[in-house]
Amino acid sequence: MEPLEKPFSAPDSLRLIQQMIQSAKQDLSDNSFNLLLWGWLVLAAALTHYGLLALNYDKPWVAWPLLMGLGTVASFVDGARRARRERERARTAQGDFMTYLWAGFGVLMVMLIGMGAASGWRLAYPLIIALYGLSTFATGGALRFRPLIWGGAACWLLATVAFRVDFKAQLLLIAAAVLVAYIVPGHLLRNQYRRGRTV
Amino acid sequence: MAAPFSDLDPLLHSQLRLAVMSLLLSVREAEFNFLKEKTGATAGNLSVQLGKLKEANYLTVTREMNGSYPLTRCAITPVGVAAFEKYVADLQRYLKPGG
Repeated sequence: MEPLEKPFSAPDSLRLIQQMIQSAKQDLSDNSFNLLLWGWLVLAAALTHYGLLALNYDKPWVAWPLLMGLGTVASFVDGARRARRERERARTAQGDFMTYLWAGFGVLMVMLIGMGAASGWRLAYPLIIALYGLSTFATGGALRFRPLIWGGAACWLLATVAFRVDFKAQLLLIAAAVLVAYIVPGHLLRNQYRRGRTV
Repeated sequence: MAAPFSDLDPLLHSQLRLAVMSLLLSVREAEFNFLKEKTGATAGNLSVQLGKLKEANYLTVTREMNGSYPLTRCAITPVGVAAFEKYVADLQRYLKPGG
């Protein structure tokens, strides 16, 4: 059965195409959740570690396993919810790129944590900061969101500095890195999403 | 009325089919209800039009069960992308003055 349709002009046609493409884009999910989750958790863990070191506590690193474990659980729950939503709605090339990028980030992060545990954190921390930079930079490019691109680039500068300072100062550099690469851009991204603008 | 457009791809020069193809061009894969919501079409009409696009090999339709309810996922094919690009190029020719 042919639908009853009004005659359809060339400008109508182009307008419809544009409208549909725009509408598909507006359905993009809110990508700020993981940035804010990990940003705040890493900031809290790094500053707690710094504070406990200053107080000469015997296990100053205690916040890391607790907070990172919490983050992993929250990330998995959110990931499962997001995957279900994608199956029931639409899958985008951008969404697929983000999944592979952050899965690769996770693998490399585990390797760097292993390296830190085995051969010392002083070398691992600058590399972890550089890895924050890479993933944020690429995410910013995919979302066409400049604060993430700048935040990612800033991480590389912080990583370079981190190679040259002691462990205590590295903890502050990690806190600064998540602030500029995750927390600030994450809040900006969330505001933009809530205002309903496409990215 | 449609005379000047007589050589536009008739499969694409229809509001609902064109809307579906434009949506599928922007995503990798979309579920039936996503397309229904975005186009505002009825389920019956959308099914018929998806069938026509599928017959022309412009899109693929995959059906699967998600727990107790079915999911119908559609994706544009390379043939569909080529047809869409040709349709837009043809439209642009019509819009050029003197074209």
